[in-house]
Amino acid sequence: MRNFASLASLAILLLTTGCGGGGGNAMLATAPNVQAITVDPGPTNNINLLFTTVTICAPGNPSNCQTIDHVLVDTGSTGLRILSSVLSPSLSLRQQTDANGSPVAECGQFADGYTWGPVKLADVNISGEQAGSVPIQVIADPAFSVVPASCSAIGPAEDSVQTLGANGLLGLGVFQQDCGITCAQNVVPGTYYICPSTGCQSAQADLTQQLQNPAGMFSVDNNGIVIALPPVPATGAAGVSGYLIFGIGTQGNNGLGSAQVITVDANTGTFTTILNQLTFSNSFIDTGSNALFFADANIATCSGGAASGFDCPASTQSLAATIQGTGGATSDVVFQVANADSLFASSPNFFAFSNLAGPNSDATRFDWGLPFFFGRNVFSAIEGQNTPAGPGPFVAY
Amino acid sequence: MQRDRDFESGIAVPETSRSPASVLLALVMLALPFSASATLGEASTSTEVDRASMKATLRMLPAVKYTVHEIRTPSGTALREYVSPSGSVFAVAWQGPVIPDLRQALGIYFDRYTEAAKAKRTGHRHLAILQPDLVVQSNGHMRAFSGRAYLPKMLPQGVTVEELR
Repeated sequence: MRNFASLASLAILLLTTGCGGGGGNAMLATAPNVQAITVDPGPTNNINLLFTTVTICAPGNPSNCQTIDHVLVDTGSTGLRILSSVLSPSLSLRQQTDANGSPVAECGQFADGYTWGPVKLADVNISGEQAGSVPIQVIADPAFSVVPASCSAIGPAEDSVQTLGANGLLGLGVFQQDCGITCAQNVVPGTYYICPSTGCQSAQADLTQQLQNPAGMFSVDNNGIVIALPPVPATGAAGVSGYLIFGIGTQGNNGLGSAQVITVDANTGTFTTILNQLTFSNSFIDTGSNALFFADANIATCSGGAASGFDCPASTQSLAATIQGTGGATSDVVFQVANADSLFASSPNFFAFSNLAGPNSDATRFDWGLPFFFGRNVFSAIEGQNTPAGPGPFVAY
Repeated sequence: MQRDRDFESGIAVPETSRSPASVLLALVMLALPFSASATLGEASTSTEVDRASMKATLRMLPAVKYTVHEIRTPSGTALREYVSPSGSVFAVAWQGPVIPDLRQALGIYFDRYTEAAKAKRTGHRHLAILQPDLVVQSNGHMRAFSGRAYLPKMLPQGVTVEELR
């Protein structure tokens, strides 16, 4: 089992200065700010999806809780979203309301569709960290069955385990709210709604009403996260086990060490990537993307079948890119692009691949998806929060 | 096993070129009134409908091979509608913090888009529908989306896909 072999190297990978060098994985696994994360087939038998388990409770009622597995860890979005279909009827979350007492609902926007449902308040427990009354989204709640036309106008519905690829999304991006000031200052169709008895209508949503990054609401270790995953061999791995660590420089196990800090655009969360003298000005690092997606005219895309949507170069390409933060700091990243057809054919039962890439129709974007995270500790600092390297938003690795 | 997390393939499109700077320099703000409307595949008499429904501002950006109608919504998202010399909308492209009203922008093609997306989907940062007569490509994350939809068989002569953004 490649995932267990890979796990052994994780002890070296992680910054365990607080453990006196002898704690290793046992200490990590039991530290209150450390949560296990895995790459496995998940509910839809897919590849390179990073999952964890989340416990949510009725606000202030620790005896009314539910633990939900296979929630996708997504640094490309903000906020916890859980499908209504996986929630227990006995879990009584509180409805989020606006200043007039009207229920608040959201149309979560994603490039591949929308998530529609009410914003509810829940106490969120992950590892030993707790956040009270966090606004989360309940997706496809039957009590909000009428999807506003301005929400369904942005694309297909993501309203089931099959379409979402998970039981929910744990958005741990660099932003504290998903929409932010745009939705606080404007009525933006296709985002936030109020739903009085007369029906839902587009509405502004104060920052505090919007979906929140749960990590930023913990009482401690709340300035960011670390994703720590072991390397994955060139032929792939059946699965991968790693750690989601809360806080940056707040404990002995989450120090930045020698990581290069890459500041990101405060409005978009993006930075610049330079590859073969081409500049990708809207780049981002994202556990929610299952490959490295960038446009490269020299790399052939797969012709179809299981590898459709990925790259199929004649031979494995070794590439060197430079990542540049908005503050000017740079970092070189070497990566490989293998033939996806060959990878899948030779390893039909593997679900983790470090050298998987695909095309991108936007030539300004370099999407550093999950393969980037294998073999690294990747830090993500939340906007406005202080860290030993200065305030977020930034990423570091 | 479902492998197709992202569906961009099939059409080999070099993505590295940029539309000439001269095109951008030629962009001129024109005054309304403006009798155009713009929905994909329809005559350019639908832009005003889109502008009004999106409570947006509008400017026309004449280029050599087509005219661009740019609608900018209060949220900051720009929707560009590409009108051929014969007056039909052959492409739309968007960029900004939120996804615009694609039902309005894609018109009769919207249902085909959502149906095709349901058939093969999963990646939350990318979506590409590649059909002989309809291409829809959506990218990004909240606060930074981009995308385009075009009718390959209606592209005016000499227009490259890379220009549509």
